[in-house]
Amino acid sequence: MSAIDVRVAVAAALAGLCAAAGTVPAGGGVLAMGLLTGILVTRSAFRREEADVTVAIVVGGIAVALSTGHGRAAAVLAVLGLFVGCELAALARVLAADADAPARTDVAATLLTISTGIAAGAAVLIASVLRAGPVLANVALVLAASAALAGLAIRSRRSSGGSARNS
Amino acid sequence: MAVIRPRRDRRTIGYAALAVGFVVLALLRGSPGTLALAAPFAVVLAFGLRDIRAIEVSATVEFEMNTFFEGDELNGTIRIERPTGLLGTISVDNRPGWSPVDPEDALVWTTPGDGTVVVVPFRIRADSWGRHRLGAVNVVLRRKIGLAVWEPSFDLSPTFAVLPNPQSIRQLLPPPASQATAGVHISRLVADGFDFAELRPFSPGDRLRDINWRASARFDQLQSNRRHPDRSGEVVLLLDTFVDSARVASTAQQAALARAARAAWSIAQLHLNAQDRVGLAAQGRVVTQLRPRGGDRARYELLTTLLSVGGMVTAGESAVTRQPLSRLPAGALILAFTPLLDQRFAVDVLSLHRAGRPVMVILIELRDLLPPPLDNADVMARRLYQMAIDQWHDNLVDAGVPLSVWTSDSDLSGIIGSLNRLRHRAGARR
Repeated sequence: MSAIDVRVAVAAALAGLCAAAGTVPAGGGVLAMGLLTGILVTRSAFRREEADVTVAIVVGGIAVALSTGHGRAAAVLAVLGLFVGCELAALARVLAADADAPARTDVAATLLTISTGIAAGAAVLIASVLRAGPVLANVALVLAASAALAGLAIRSRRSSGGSARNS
Repeated sequence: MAVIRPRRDRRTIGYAALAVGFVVLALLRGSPGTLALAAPFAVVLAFGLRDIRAIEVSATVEFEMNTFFEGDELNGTIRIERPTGLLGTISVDNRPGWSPVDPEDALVWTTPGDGTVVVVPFRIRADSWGRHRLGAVNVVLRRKIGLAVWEPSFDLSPTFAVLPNPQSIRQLLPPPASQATAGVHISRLVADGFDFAELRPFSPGDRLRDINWRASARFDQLQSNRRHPDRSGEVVLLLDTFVDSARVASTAQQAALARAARAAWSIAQLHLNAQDRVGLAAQGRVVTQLRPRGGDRARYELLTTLLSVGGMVTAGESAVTRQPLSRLPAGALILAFTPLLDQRFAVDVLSLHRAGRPVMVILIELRDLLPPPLDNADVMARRLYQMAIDQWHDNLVDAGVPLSVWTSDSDLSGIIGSLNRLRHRAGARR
């Protein structure tokens, strides 16, 4: 039996804790679902099969969907907990590959991912709260569509450049 | 340089399901705020899958040297060339024959995304003799916010040779028959050489330099010196490569084989230096026969064959058929190294002895190579095992085969001396 790396154990435990803690404000059946999610997320940190990870995320998603009936704040906290938990579980899987390697790079990458996701969620949440006039809303829509198209064009150009180099 | 296509991270399907699910939920409920639930997953998906091109990756493994002795530590480097900005995990599959020293438990590294070339140094210990390779080098590459993973694997490591440690021995085994080339073993024949054999009255045809003037003066008649010719002998080193019934060479068996190889190499060196012709044969899991030869070429052939045998046994390769040992050169002294784990080897040795072939056995004691017994059943099993070995030991000794036991604290010189005495005693009885 191989010993478990402390960093992996801590990351996996934190992942489960976060996933479950997000559903505490909702309570009741949602909390029960959240606890199940926490267990599954912790388990997915130690198991490398894709199905285990997917099941944990989807069960967490159901808990979040149920929490929407308890108000916006409960739903946001539940999704925040699930997202952070899933990312910490992913970090644990990466750390499990090497007990001796420094974890700083992977921890920084995980923190970057978590902060990006939270920032995106916060932006959408703020946008949904704002009561913008039709003109402002249309301008925002056009800007967003333009940004998306530009992103797709840049990616397409990179891909074709990469293909030419590969060939 | 390999072109590698990515695979998706394990989170991808789950995140995609949540992003789509929450968007649908927002549409169904007509609630823009619900979109915020989908946003973290959607953004990670968008960033993570933004660049999923095939990438070019190459890996090379280099060793400081390529020939080592057992127990030596080898330094080497792994050089990975890949696009910049990719975090990586590099791991090397374990293979028999070596163990990692630095990193200690396994050869695994995590590398940052800087630069296009990553060089990781490593140190391994050569555990068993033979020709070995590093395992496959597996590389896992991913971006900082990435759901695409590139996983190339390279199995192109160069081989390195691990030589058995030479033991110090001072004596030579006396081969029973001699050949016509110059060597240090004295033949019973009388001919030109350097070692004095006898005096005899001068006869026409004797060379002037053979006349012993002092003896001639004493006998008042011309006396000629006669000399032994300097000739070389043939030695065949016979290795027992039989393994246990599970067809797996255990650590103790590999250690026993390594001990046999060390002794075989030491004895071979000594005899080759003495202009003898040395051959090698292996019987058991690995079967090989190298005809006795002399000189540097024989030395290299012997070493190569010895390393191949060690490598094949360690890697678990096995022979399909056995070779009849009667094909071994008729006049050669056969020196067998065996732990007597398999009775077939003892039967082969007895057959050779009964056929009048000069054969001597070095019994390699395994008890000191085994870990401490776990319980009473283990103790009992070992006693039964030892009884079987003792029985074959007694059978060989009763049949008149010179046999000496080699334990961890035995000196190879002492064992060779004891074998010589046993052989002379057996010769005197005949």
